[in-house]
Amino acid sequence: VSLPRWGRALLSVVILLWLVGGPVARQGFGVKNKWLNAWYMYKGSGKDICWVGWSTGEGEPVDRLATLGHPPWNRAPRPVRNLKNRAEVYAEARRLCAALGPGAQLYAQAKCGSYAGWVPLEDGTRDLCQRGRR
Amino acid sequence: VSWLWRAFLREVVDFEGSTRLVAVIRVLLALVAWSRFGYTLQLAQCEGDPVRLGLMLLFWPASTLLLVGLFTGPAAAITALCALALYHVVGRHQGVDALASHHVLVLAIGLALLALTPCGRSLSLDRMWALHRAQKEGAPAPAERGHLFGQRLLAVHVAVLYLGTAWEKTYPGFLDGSRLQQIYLSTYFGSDGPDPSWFVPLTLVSAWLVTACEWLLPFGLFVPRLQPLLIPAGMVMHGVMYHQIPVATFTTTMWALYLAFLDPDRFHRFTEQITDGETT
Repeated sequence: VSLPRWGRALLSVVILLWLVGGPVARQGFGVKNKWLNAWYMYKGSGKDICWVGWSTGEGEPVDRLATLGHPPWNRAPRPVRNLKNRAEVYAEARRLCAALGPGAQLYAQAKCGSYAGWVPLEDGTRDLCQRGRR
Repeated sequence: VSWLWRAFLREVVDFEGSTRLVAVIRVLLALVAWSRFGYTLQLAQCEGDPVRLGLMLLFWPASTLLLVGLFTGPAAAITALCALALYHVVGRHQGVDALASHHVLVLAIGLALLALTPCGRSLSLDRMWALHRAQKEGAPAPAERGHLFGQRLLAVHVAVLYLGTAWEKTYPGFLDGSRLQQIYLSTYFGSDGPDPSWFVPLTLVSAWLVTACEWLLPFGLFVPRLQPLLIPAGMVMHGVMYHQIPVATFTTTMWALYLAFLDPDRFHRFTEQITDGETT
């Protein structure tokens, strides 16, 4: 493109304002405008996951996948491997209680993902099987 | 203000140099565009969608011409318009999430800014044709030089992107490693997670490294002395992302765009050195 000097200057100013102004307005000042550009990357990715450590009443860790008859984590299908939210965590707890048998105790240290970080769900002090029986 | 304006004129508006560097960026971005949009614009994917069909008819010839450097100016402009349309119309308006992604926008803006450079003046069929004409007329070979304000804008594009992403990561939920833990759990380990004794410290250190890198790169990449350190560092960072999390063509786009920070005349001399000055 062979533009005269003023053309290059004008174009550069406009583009620079758009390149810089969009992220400043949207990310810096929270302006909502779809024509403004912003660089939100992976803001939403990976949030739909809960991290859960299961244990019995004696404090022994419970291997969730083995107990429920699933393959190990590296071969388990993603819907089995990933518990996405609190509802899925408690549903899995009910399945685990059933698999562990009557009178079993099940505790969990659980937290679920969010943009702000981890949101605590269970601190390991409640018997989830008892909760299910109530 | 006057100093700033003069610097702007000198460093952006009047900036000129060898066109070989932007020619290499042209080839790389054309290949990345094929890689990203090739499947989307396959004939089978365009059935019953007049927008995609139209884009397909424009994109393939234009991007092919861009790659080989024939009618490069119009080819670059049309390829860029197709990429922007794929992001805005197909991605955002029609709701195809994969195309409404930031990595498509990075590439589309990159192509649009590339269209403002004389990227067909080197390493191209346009160049071959110009040499042939000059030879026929007994004129000297046309210089591989031009105004490179587009190259400067490409560099600013990368820098602003890093500032945006660095800003976005600078909060406790990312810096304590939580967000990286979530990404790795959902991509690999699942809800049972790996042993926290190594996983938590590793994600904590990685979060700080990535954020520090993204704050440093937008400033440091403009400093020639720091480039031998920061360009490989940035490339490694993007390489690790490419290897471990789904980033599509983001890594390859960024690698190609890093070239925009280099001195075009030094790059020209470098290509002369490694080819015994035989490059035309």
